[in-house]
Amino acid sequence: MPIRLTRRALDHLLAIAAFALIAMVTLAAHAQTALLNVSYDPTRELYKDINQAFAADWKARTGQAVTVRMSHGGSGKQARSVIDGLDASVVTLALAADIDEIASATKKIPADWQARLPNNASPYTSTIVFVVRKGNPKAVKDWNDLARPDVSVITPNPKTSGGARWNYLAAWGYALETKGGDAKAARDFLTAIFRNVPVLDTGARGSTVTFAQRGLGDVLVAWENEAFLTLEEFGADKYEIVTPSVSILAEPPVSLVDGNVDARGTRKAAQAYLDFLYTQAAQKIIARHYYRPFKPEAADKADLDRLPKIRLFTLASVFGDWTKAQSVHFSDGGEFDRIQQAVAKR
Amino acid sequence: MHEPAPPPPAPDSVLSEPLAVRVALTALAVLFLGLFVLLPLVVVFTEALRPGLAAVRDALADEDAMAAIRLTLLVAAISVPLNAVFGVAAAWAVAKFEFPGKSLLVTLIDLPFSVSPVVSGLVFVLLFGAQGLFGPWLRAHDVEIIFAVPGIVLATVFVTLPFVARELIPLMQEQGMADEEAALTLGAGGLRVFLTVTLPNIRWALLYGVLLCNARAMGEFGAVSVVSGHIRGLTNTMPLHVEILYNEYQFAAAFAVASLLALLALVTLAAKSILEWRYADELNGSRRH
Amino acid sequence: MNSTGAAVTEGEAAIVVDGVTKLFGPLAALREVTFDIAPGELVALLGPSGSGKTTLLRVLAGLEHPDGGRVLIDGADATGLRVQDRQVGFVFQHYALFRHMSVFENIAYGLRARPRRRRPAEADIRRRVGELLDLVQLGGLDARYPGQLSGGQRQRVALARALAIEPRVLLLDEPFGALDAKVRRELRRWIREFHDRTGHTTVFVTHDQDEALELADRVAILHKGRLEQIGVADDIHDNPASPFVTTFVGETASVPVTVKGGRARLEGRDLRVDASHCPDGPACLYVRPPDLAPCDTAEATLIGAISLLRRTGAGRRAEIAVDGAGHVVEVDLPVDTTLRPGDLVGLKATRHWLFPGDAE
Repeated sequence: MPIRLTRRALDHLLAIAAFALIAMVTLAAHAQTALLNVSYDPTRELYKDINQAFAADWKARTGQAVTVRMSHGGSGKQARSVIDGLDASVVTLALAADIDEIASATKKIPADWQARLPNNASPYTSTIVFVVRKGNPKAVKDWNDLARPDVSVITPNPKTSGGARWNYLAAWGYALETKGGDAKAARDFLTAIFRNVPVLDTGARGSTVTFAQRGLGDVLVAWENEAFLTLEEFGADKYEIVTPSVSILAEPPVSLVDGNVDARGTRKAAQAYLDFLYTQAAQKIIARHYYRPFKPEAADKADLDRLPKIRLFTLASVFGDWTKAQSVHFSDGGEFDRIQQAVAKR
Repeated sequence: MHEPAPPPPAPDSVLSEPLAVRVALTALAVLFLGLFVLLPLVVVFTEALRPGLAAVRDALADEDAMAAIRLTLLVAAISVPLNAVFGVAAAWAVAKFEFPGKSLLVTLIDLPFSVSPVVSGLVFVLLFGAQGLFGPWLRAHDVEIIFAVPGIVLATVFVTLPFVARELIPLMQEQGMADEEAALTLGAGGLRVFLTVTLPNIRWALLYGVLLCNARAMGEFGAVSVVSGHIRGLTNTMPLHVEILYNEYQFAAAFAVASLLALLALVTLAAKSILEWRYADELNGSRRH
Repeated sequence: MNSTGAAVTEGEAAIVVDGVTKLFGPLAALREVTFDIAPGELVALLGPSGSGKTTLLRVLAGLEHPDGGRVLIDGADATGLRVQDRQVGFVFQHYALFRHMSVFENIAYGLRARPRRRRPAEADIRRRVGELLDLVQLGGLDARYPGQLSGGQRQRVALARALAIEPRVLLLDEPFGALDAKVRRELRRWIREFHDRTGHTTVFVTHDQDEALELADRVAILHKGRLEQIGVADDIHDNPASPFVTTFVGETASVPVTVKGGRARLEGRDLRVDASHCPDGPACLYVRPPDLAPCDTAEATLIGAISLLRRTGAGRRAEIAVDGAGHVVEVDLPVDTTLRPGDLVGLKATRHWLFPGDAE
């Protein structure tokens, strides 16, 4: 009896081992990945459609099957993962600084990566708008209102989220413009806003869920496309979009990760994938997902008409370039850290 | 200390507390359990079933969901046996031998309990990531650890390491060496002693430890999240997949996968109960506690 | 170390313990212990806790490896032999029965553990286990689990299990330690009969002197890792070899004395005790209450005043402060004694032992 029981235990162990082996073989069979697109948070729905279209296009042109796998997260966090070895074929991130970071840390991307594709390697642009609850109960109209003490603001953490950095820079640009070009005035303005932020999520999508699903905050500062998606997912009868008087032209760039595709031998497909983003077909999909296409003429007019007319300033016109904006505002001890200290002090 | 006859059931008179106190305490316990364990469980299942069984089936049949389920089972199937073997070896060493650094070993076994899983994940990134200690060597030899299955297994093994050992150490310490020595004097070799004496003596604790270890291995989020890379269909385990679905506003699908995860945990518990019931006679005849 | 230590010549001894030393770190659990055990003999290892008696038993079994000396079993050096190969039956203090196995499987364990070519057929195992169960008078209990047995029954299962391997020697560690007093006495008698019936060379460990002296053919007394004395009960009682043995077996009082020129003196008075074997200097006189009787002070060995007198079952017991030195000696007096507390009495010792050095 006891020996039989022991044998039974051994049988179980053997069964588990056999199962592990089978599972491993199965997994290996499924593991023939072609491309990995490491992207930022709000692009999940966009790339789901793009990837399908690209796979069909690639199959039609070359007769080969290609799978594009996705990894999403806060733009800064995703860049960190690629630096730590995540095997990205292409990166499609929220801002150029994150790709610069990968380039300088790993040397897997040449420094002049932004010159390799049209429009500074941004197949689409976007901007930052507000989402408020239906009827706009707190009467949020412009950036000014975010600094009001009675308004609770939801935005992700600029340290980890690219979208949050655009949010921050848009508010800063607004402050410079309306408060006389003074950095101190801008800093005080941002401090007042961040005092109103109850929770800093790590990515844009986290913030959207916090605002829409968990019901926190009066206003969500979000990507334009994310704002429209919120209305789509949670109901236009519950939320509405508020367009500020001025906002920033956000340019989310894309790049090949040369070091990785050359190691995998997937450069051709990966390059084709990025080129595909600039095609008529892809630009149409981009507009459908509420992004602002590089080639508006390729998009459906109805899609374009949904996007509000906002006066947009470029990063270059206010902050110079990303390297500068990054070091002044988001590096350790930069403006954002000072603002956070001021917020914590109160 | 050794095999006392089963004690007779305590007479009612021992319970001197007034009825009201007993009822209140019981009610409190039931309420607490209901609020913090049962209710969330019910919510998970009702949320999952709200759109209907077909939706649940579709959510689980999704290619990425299947991949996540497969990966989770694979990771558990590798890390649980590893930790079972490690747990038995460590508990044996701690309980039956004296050696320098023993208390350090016991502390180290507990480490994964006290360290945040996120930190555990980061440690592996620092060790095996491209910029990490062994990163260049691994890359030169084309070995993928971080952001691949081996990294997820490593992180899971680390996080679930204490479960089996923690269950076994106190038991084996209490049992001492006498049974094993008796078997040796009767002529049994080391392996036979282990299989016929040690293993049966610890099997319930071992089983319990393995089940706990398994539950945690399948449910681990923090450490795995750090080393996963979140590649859908490739390095997303079930808990990570639940988060992704949730973030994609696919709440029904998220709860469907979550309920499958909860179901696996319930099956684990049921398996333990069934085994205990199946061998109840033997348990009563031989168990100390 | 003592002439009675070698009961047999080396060739015929069942067990020879030759200069065995065992260290636990800096502590010596056994120091050069040497003695022989004859075939069929029943020997007790007696000593207080920490005396090394259990360590010695474990060395015999091969469960501990000595740091010096050797152990011979049936004339062959067994020092380097593994436990499994020694063929010794060991009954553990708490029996160490395999609690997940039935009584039958417990007893059959040693038979099943044999290498395949020496393993008996299943039918032979059944027959052999049946015989052993009958031998220990537990027939019919083969399907029980250890948890369902009484302490005495477990003890006998452990014994049957140890006997199943046809051991060359049987080793019992505190065989009665875990039992209550009544079962202890019964089992003590049973073990004695069992030994006489089966004739196994047997060594058992105990801290109970009555148990050792009643049950064993010879008793080995250990103290601080040393063998103080080995001998039959009469030897131990009548000719204790050391102060420790003297005080350890039976009630003993000790009186420090001074030896000079072969005479023992206390407070300057000659005690009329032969001290020719002691060098000049301090020594210790040991006496036992049953060996003392009141007498005229002129003939007395010890003189003292009665400090306390109390009634015992059969008589009265007096505490006597000897020779003003404050050392108390107890003596039994008849019920109708006329002596009263404060009276000065002389005591004559029919037996006494004098050892050089300070009191133990």
